Amino acid sequence: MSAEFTVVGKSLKRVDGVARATGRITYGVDMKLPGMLHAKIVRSEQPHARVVRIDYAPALRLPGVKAVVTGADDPGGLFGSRMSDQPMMAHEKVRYIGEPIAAVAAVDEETAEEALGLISVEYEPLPAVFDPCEAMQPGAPIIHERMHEYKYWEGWCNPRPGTNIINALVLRKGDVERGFAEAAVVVENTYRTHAIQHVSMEPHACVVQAETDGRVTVWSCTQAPYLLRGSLAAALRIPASKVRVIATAVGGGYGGKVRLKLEGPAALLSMKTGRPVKMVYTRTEEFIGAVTRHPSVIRMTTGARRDGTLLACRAEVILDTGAYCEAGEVVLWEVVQATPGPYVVPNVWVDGYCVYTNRVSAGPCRGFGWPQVTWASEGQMDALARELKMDPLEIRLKNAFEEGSISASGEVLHSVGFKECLQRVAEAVDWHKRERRPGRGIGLIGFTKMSMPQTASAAFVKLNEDGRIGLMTSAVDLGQGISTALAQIAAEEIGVTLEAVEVAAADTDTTPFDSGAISSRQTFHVGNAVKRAAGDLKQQVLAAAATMLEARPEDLEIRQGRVSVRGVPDKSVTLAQVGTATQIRLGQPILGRGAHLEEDIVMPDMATGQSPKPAPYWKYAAQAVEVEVDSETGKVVVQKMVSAHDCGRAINPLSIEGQVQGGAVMGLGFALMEEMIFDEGRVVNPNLMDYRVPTSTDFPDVEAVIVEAPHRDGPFGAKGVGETSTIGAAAAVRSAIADAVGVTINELPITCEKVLDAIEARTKEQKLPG
Amino acid sequence: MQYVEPGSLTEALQTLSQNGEEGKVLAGGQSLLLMLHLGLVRPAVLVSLQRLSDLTAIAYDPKGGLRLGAMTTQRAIETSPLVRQHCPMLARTSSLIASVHVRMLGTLGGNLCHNLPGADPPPALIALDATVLLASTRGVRELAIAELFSGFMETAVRPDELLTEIRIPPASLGGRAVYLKHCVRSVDPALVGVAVRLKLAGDGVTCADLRIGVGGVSPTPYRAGSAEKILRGQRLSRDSISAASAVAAAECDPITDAHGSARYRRKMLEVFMRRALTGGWNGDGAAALC
Repeated sequence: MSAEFTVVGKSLKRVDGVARATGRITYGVDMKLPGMLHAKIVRSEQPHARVVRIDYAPALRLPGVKAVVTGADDPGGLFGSRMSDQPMMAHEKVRYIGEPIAAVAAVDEETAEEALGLISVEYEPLPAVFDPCEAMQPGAPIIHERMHEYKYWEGWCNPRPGTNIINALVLRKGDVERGFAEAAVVVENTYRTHAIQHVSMEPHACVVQAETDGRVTVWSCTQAPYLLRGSLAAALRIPASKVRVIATAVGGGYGGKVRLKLEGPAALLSMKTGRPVKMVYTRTEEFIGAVTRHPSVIRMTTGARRDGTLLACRAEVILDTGAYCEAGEVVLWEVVQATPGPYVVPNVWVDGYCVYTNRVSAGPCRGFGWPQVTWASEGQMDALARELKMDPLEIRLKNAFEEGSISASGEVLHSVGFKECLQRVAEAVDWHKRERRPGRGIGLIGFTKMSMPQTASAAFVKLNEDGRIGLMTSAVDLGQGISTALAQIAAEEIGVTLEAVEVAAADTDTTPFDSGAISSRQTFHVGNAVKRAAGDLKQQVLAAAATMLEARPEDLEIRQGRVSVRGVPDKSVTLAQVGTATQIRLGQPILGRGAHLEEDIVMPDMATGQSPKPAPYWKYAAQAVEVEVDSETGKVVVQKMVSAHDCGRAINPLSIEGQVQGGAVMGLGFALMEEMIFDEGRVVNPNLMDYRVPTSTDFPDVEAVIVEAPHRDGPFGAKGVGETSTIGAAAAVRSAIADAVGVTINELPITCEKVLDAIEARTKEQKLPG
Repeated sequence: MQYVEPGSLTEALQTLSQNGEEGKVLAGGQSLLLMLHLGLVRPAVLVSLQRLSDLTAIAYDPKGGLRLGAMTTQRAIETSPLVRQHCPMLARTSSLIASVHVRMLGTLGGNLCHNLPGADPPPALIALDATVLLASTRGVRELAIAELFSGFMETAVRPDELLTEIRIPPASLGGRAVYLKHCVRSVDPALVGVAVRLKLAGDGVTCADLRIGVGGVSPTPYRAGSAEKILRGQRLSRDSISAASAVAAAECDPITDAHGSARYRRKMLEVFMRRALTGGWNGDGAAALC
């Protein structure tokens, strides 16, 4: 595959592997500073209410309590992703059960906890709304009265002040009515998905120190240091460079640690006390006070010719973003671009709505809306296959995107390994010769996901006096292995071994800008920046070595950390000699710089959603699942799972396999086990006893298949893969259940009870005369 | 909160006697520590049984049957040659509790005193007609296991009492015994757990005696007396087993929680009772005979 490379494309060991495996890495929860206080948050008990009075005088009298802050201490800046709608602490009113109302800092965690019980809040309840469809209706309680004042990015948002619709977007192509009229078969279904939590092993954690010069230093297990810096500065109404974010190691993120959370109240408390303040969420707070996956309701109508050729797709996508956007506006923006899935459809009509409700906010969650639309679009493909009596693989291959296909937004697609993903998965489960056994079934589905536009990365690469390479970016390693992948890219480009590269942790005072570990973007964007910075460094090294060797730079090459004249290996200097000379003797230290921004992005037209290039790149994947269904209990046991991903070029195949396997299991949990259960906006199962996150014994090993359709803009052709890995599992499980016992579940999660009810209903139907 | 580690049973009983309602016994901590963490219990004194090594014994004799110290871990029961030999159903039941990590620390006595709906040992011990010893400074009393479970997460153990031993009588150690559990994840408590111990008459088809324990369905584990009555002394058949299972389902008082609805639990009780009884009768059903 990658014979031309020496470092890239190899399953090399993680640069931080030993430190992680031996527990010698510092996570956010491990941070300690001298004189540090511990903080806790008083959270709303009401889903929607005016806050009439907060009495915290008794808490201040408790020995050991150093400060209490409320909305009154909050400078009042609003923050958000593309839509700034959220305060750090509730102002005047609360919009969900769990919203921060006050925070207390004390000498230890126990005292802070005790103080919470001494703070009383008086509410004036307001009518609340919990269902996104109801929230869209005229007359529904308005959750954000000042929507008209909110700041947002042009091209991303179309808010409707006076309603609960914070973003309404469309995609229009062709004439859907004509398409349906020409169709031999039209299927229409409603699909629902539920809220899940990310359940990172490490909860949200930070230490914040308000410095004497007015700056604020934050140690946080964030996924996106620069986004955190921007949000915190906006909320505190101070310049961004007054905030310094130092990234700790991250014990899992999955999108849950992208946005500003506990850092806000901790900063206010540190400013009030002058002492460093530490805050760590409890597991309960992770459920009631962080973010969830967006619940959705998707109505979809799809028409096809007798031969399976897709003709038209009409969809209404409703995303429930809860009390605040938390990037819900972007989730909607993304999924509207390809709601019908990775298939050629000549006529498309999509109406998308992102809607506020009075429950804990939904936010970024591995897959970013695509598990929801895939749940719908692949349900439609299965429904069409059933109606047309076609093979589910065949109807997908017939319509699948390939290189040069035109997307619904009018983009000419490039780097499309989709058909190969479908075929490789089919081979792995022996699709065409699969054995039919009672209660056993196989589902095979496909999907796509974009990486969002308007994100940027920069990298610095320096040559040290010992000849080793220092790599400085603000990429965040959540455990996915990005540090290793970036080091591989730098090593490949320069001509050194992986071991010669040291990767610095992100620190917004010293490492350059980056949009963070989001949207499966780091390998592509940061990778490009690193590749360019490494190339820049290489040119400088060759120039310096040319002087030292009295040769021309173009005659030199770098191999295994040595610069030599091509064809004359004896005439050489080591990188250490070059580093020492440039850094110490010449006073001309070598620093390579590189950056990446996808420059040819065209933001979709707001009236039609049309754009020749809405995204830096699209990822494609296919998954197959084999299940066994107990028709007396409805229990579904996953026997086998295969997951194939077009990742452009695998920089580190081992890391990709790990991502693909972890993501698949997260997807299976979403399908069959995990569910945040709400009662009037209150999470009734905010603990790991009643919220069922999969354990290592619940699912089989996942077979990861790597497909490479190199992307012209990617570093060595690479694209991302992390988020895609989780998207299709639920749809694949549904197809497998239908294959096994003939029932179709369109409302997630697929509980035993739903499967059993469907089986019983079908049995009853079959018994009816006629 | 005060933490004490008595060095002897006498000392432990005295500590409990002195603290009354304020004291709470800490065994393996697999349930209590979670409840403490969530603030669901706030005892003034935590009495750890860590040092009472006498309470971890597993003993068997033909007259007394099987005796298990209350501090015996689930993992010890699961792997004990004595338990595997004389009461394989109990070893198998233990192997189904939560995860191996929990079983390494969690104890049988702690599990029974916690009385979580869906706990696996209670229905098994009901079917095995077990008794428990409750000791206090006032003396020792022996209680039938079914009487231990007095309500939702409540037991008949008085504040000054310590559950010290679980006894399974010799009469329960022969015959066929089955425990079947329905849950979504392997680590979950039972949505429905049914244990059956069954003795066939000489003809091989008549049910000479049986005892059925049910867990997970109701707020407390219980003995399914009506189903037993239908089958005791009768010829076992698919029909009679189905009839008994239907009665058990009709009579149950199921709960709804995050793991399943009352309606679903009722249906599953019928299915798992039928599977467990069938397994006890003729070994049908894959996992039935254990």
